[in-house]
This record gives sequence, C-alpha cells and structure tokens, in this order.
Amino acid sequence: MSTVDDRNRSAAIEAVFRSDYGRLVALARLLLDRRVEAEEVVQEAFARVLAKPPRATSPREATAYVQRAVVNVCRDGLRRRRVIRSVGHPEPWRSGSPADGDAAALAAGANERQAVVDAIRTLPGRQREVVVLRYLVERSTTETAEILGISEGSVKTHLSRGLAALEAELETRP
Amino acid sequence: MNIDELLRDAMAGEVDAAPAPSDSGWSAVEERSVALRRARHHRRLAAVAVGVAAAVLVGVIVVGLSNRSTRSTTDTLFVGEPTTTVGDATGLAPAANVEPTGSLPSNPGSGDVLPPERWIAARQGRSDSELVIYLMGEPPGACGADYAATVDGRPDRILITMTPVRIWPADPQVSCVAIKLPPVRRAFLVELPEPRAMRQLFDGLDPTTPKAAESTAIFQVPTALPPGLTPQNEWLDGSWSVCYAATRTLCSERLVAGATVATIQSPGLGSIVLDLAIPVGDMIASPPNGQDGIAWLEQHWIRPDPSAPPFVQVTVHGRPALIFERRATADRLGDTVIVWSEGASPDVDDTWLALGVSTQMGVTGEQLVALAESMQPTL
Repeated sequence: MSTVDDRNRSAAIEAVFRSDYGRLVALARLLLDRRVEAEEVVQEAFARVLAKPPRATSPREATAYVQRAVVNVCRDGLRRRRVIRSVGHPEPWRSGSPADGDAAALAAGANERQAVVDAIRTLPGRQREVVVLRYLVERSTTETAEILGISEGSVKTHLSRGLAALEAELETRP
Repeated sequence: MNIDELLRDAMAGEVDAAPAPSDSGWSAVEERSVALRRARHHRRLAAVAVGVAAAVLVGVIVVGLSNRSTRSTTDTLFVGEPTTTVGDATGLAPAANVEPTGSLPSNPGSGDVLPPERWIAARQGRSDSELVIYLMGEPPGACGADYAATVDGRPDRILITMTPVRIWPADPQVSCVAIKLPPVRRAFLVELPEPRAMRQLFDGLDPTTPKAAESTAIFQVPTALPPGLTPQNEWLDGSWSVCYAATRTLCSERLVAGATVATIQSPGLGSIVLDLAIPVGDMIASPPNGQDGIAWLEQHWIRPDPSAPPFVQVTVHGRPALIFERRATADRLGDTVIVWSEGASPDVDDTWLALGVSTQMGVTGEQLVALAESMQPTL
C-alpha cells in the first residue's frame, strides 16, 4: 500500500522522465553506442528507481539519482556484453543497426558532430562517462564524482585525459 | 571551435536526436517497476525462508548436540579396565572378572531406598567425563555377587544406578560356581539445589556444633538401623556425618566395616550429599595399630588441599579407568586399596568422590601401588 510519501517520490521521478528522457537516452547512447538499446536502458533505470524511489528532496537530486541509475545500467550492459563476447555467445541485445544513430546524425547534416560522437566512443569507459556527464548533462565535478562514485580528483584526471584523447582523435580525422 | 565547443555542439545534437518521452514509455516503466518490486519481494521471502530453515537446522543440531552432551550414562557400566579388549555397545567394557547381569534401568525412580549396608558412591559433577564407577568389592579372592554402582553427576541431580554383577577372582585357577546374584537393582535420583544455594547452605553451617537433630542419612537411611549397625554422629572436617560402625558377615568369614555417610539437611532443600559411604575394609577385624575403626577413620580423615589440581585420572592399559580427586589419598588393606576423599569443601565447584578399588577390578598390584603413591596423602 503506497503512502503519500511514496506517491510524491514517484511523481518526482515521473517529472524527471518527462523533462530529461531525451537527454538520458542520449547519455545512454553515448555510453552504449546504440539508441534502441539506450531507450531500453533508460526505461530499465527508471523502473529500478521507481521500484525503490530515493529520498531526493529536489528535482536536481532526483535527476542525479536517475542519471546514476542510467550509468549503472549501462555498466551492467557493457559488462554483460563483454562476458557474452568472451564466451563466444551471440549478441543478445536488440539488433538495432549500429548505423541507426549515425544515420539520424548524418541526416541532420552534422558531420562534425558525428565525428565528435565517434571520437567519444573511442574513449575508455571511465573517461567517456566523465566527458558525457560533464558536457551532456552538464554536471559539475563534484556532482559527476557523486554520480560515478569516484573522487573529484579522479573526475578531473579522467576529464583531462579524455579531452586530450578526444583532441588527438579529432586531429587524425579528415 | 575548440574541444569544449565541439563537445557541447555534439551533445546538443545528440539530445535533439533523442526520442521524446511518451505516456506509453512511462507506462512501460511503471510495469517494469511493479515487476521489479514483486521480484524483490519474492527474493526477500526466499531469503527469509532460507534463514528460517537455516535457523531450524542450527537449532536441531544444537539441541542434538546438547542432548548428546547431557546424555545419561545410566546405560553405561564401567568397572575398571578390561583385561581383554572387548568392548560393548557403550564403548566401555567391564572388567574381565566382572559380569553385568542385565541392562541398567532406563527409568530410575526417585527416592528409592538404598540398602544402608552397601557402599555408596555419589558425587556432584557436570559431565559424562566425570562419571564415577564404584564397584562394591567382595573380599579379595572370593567369588560373589554384588552391585556395581554408576554415578552420574548432572547439573541438578545425582543419579546412582546399582546393577548386580557377578564377581570372581582374576585368578583363572579359581572357579566360581553358583554365584547368587543380588535380588534387586535400583537406581536413585537425588535432586540437588542449584550451586549458589548450595554454597549459601555451606556458608551457613557452624562446623563446631554437631547438629544431630538435623542430620539424616542420605537416601532415607532408616532411623531404625539394621541389627549390627551402631550410629555414631561425628563432625568430620566441616561436614556433618553419620558414621556407622557395623559388623557384618558376608560371603566369607571376613568382617567388613561400616561406612560413613555424610549428609546435610536443610529445610526446603532436602538432603544433600556431601560425602559418601566409605568402605573401610578389614579395619574392624584388624584395625591398623590396634585402633578401632572409627578412631582410625578420624585419624586418617583427609583435609582438603585447595591448591591441589582437581583430579587425578588413573589410566589402566592406556585408557582412563578411574578419576580421583587429587586431594584424595589411598591406603592398602591387604589386596584392597581404599581411596579416601574429602568432600567437605564449601566450594561447590569442586567435585568430590571416594572410591574403593579392589584388585578384582582388574587393576594390577603395581598400578594400585602407583595409584596410592600418586594420591599424595596430606595426612
């Protein structure tokens, strides 16, 4: 039996869903590469959060909580994917074309953007998480550290290395 | 554009390309959430079930071990060390020259009357390892039948089981015929107060004033003593004793002494065993140094040595045969060793016992000598 408090928390999560769904899908897509899979991830993250709503007191905290959930679900998916690849099983995730997102981007005529996105995908996992959180959802160093569960120093280090790697990667592209 | 601008522009494009939230999407989220909650609930139930099952299993094991550790030894007849390595179901074989004549009673009664002429061993103890077996000896070299007493000390009671046994000399050249068994076998259950109450009781005693009116023999020794028994109340080393001096003829022409039974009685607590009947062998017939039995007994009464280790364990043929209190001493009277023990210590945590050891228990003479020497008399 749900309480008023539970209903308020659920309402807060739904508000995040309404306002940040697209950005969260983009976050998942950048971390996972595939948009179809990204929507699955975001819905799974919202379901997990809704099953056990946080005691967030502000919309920003609730948003951060969902973002952390998205990152965790992405990590689970990547980990699972690595395990499956290591044992030689076929990819179990949805078979959306890897080019789906690319096609949408290209359709938008943003070749340069696509190059940046492709460069982001070449980053190691932690660097990619830091860069995306900083530039996509515009989290501060402190907030990024909280979401990822690492220290602020680590965030700065990964961000610095990630940006340097991105610059190097973009310079190699025509 | 620098890297910052490139990233922000790319991110904005990603967000623009992302799908918009929908009601169906939120409904799907809610359905997943409900499914997750149910799954979590089921996991909790499963965890609780596993926990309860584990608790029950642990409980069963604990109860089982507890029952095992407090298992009664009434079905154990342990009289010395066998001269052969034949064991019975209990793992403890009787001496080769002692034959138990039947199974011990499984449901001993409480308050049964012990035959006062019998030697009684009783003690306070806490574990099976402190089991004391007392075999009432027949005159050395004689054929006969008697009782074997097992004494099982428990936290709240003393269980004494008397079992008729046939006894014959260890000498195979001696043949025994027509051994008549004692007619009864009895078990006695003596309730003890909890140790603290017992300590208070001891502390309240006045060791200087005999209290004949309060003394009663343990196990309902009849006030009308059998013919030949002369009651002599004595205060011996802090415990109130009722001494019997008896002259009785057993299966041989030897005269057998009496015994002392130290008891104490307190209103509300009943009779408490402090000491036990002690056989004094041939001393009435031929008391050492010409003394009479009671005087000899008083002279040899052992004072407790609190600094002494609590137990002496006698090992025969590599196996623990008898356990004696360290403070005890032993005397040899002919072929019979009598181990004396003082049980009057107010420290109720100390166990006490006294045993009569006969060569008929399968203990060799050398072992008896070693036993006597190990007792470190404190006379």
